[in-house]
Amino acid sequence: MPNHTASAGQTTFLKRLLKRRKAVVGLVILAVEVALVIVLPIVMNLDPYTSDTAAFNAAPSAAHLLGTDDVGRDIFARLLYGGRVSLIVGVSSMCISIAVGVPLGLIAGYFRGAWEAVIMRAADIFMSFPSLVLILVIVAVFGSSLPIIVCVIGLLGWTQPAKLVYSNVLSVTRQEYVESALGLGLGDAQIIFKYVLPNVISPVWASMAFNISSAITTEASLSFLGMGIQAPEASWGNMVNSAQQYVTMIARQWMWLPAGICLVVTIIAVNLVGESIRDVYDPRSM
Amino acid sequence: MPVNDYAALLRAEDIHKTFPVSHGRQLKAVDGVDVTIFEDEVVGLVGESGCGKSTLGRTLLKLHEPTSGKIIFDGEDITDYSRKQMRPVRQKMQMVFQDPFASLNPRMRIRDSVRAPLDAFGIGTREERDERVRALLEYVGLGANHIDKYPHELSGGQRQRVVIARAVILGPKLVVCDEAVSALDVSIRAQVLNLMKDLQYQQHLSYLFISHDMSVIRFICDRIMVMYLGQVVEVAGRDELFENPAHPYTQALMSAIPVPDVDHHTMKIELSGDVPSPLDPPQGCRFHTRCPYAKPECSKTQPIPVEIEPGHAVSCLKYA
Repeated sequence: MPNHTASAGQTTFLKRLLKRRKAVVGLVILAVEVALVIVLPIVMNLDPYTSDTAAFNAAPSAAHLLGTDDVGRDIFARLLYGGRVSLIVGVSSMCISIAVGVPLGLIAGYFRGAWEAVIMRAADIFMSFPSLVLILVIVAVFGSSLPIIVCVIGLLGWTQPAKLVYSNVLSVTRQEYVESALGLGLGDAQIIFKYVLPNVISPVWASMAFNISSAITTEASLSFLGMGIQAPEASWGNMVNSAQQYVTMIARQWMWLPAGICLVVTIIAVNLVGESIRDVYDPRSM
Repeated sequence: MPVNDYAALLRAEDIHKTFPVSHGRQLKAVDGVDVTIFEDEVVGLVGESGCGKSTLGRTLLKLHEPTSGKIIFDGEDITDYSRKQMRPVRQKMQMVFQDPFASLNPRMRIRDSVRAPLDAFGIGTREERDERVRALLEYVGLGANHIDKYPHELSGGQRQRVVIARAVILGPKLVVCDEAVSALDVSIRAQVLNLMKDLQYQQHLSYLFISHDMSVIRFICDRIMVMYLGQVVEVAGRDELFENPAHPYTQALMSAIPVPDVDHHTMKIELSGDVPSPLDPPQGCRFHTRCPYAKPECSKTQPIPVEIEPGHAVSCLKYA
């Protein structure tokens, strides 16, 4: 049976989501984070690029709240700019993955036949690739600017929403309301958008969150390996990259620890929200 | 339209529908059935579950493609129509399913579900459509306070009224009702049946009324087809069939109808065994494995329909 109780619209969905402590914690963390990375650099007039020639490798102080890196750039400023990168990568890649994956899943599940064969086998092939290696290759060829990283991570992430939508379309099109819609003489477009899509889309909301966190992780991994966002641009991944030097890892933890903590906290917060959305839609998974 | 205009609205000849199953075997769900439905007529289709009556109903509406045979609807040979070619025809033929909950989109308001066919065929202005939906819902007994609800907020009977309203809003000529009242409480069933009868009278509809419930069939149908294992074994007018059931299977179905009279003693004809599998139907007469009157030739010769009275045809070697 499809999820009949969730049909009362978005207002009750939000209410039910906010009743969960997990969701509230995750949403508050993310809201605070978004506010900070947008507002603070403007209010505090932070500069993540200019070297303070008087302070290389400086420990935290009043002038540099979290110290400076090996070329004298302010870590606090870089942390906030790096946060912008992570959030931009997470959200934009997710949008691309959904925009590509959902229509493909719908087409494969609704029209079946050759569509199904081509799209779903392509998804299998994509999923069987170690995606980080593939991304490394693509970035090596096309360069590692922010738009390219967003596009690559986004495009490679289409399989998960596509598989999710596809399997739900298969079960929804067996429901009598789709058969009656056919019997009523409705066209394919009307059936897909009004009868199928609204009934398969809810699991996608939860997968969106997981998509965001995996995109953030992928970008951080790339940057940590030195193939992602390149200095002087800041990213949490390339800040953690400095810990690859033994001295930095042991003696100058201000350079990488804050970025690492931010990454972990962000990913946990996004996943908390994702799990709560999933629980709201499917109480059995609790 | 005169009530006695006996033009055939739907004529289907020798309909077969087989489904491929594993190991290359074929499931013969419908095996050579002729159907004629006249205008303004309610035809009943009875039989046990699994006898192919739902498959036949869906095939006649081309919701399943017939494996072979010919379907002529309202003067048009629709046998080989594509889905696209069928769309304009669907204005004239509709279906009501057994489970009204499953046949309504859970995420659509009642108003939108009922209006969907009008939208699909671009009939009238937006205001005219809304007015038509409102008026029809009121006619089937759903007031303005229900029009913006979702299916899960209605009762089973109300939902089936919505489904019926949606099926007749385009003014179809034929509505196939597949166990349309079986899922309803007995108390609600009569109301919905009365509504369907009213609609049939007012809108000059024909129904193909599929049911396993003989009392429902007796109440609403003009003519009845009895189906067993993918084949029609008996066709007759309602009164003729109930007074004079000829096929042993029909007689068994009749004897199973409870009679509300303590002094009424009938011999219940109890059929032994289960329905044979349509994957491997018996040779000869399909019913011979369970027939109390079976003779040796029944397992060899397949009976052909014999007209024992005008309009009363039976497929049984007893009458051959």
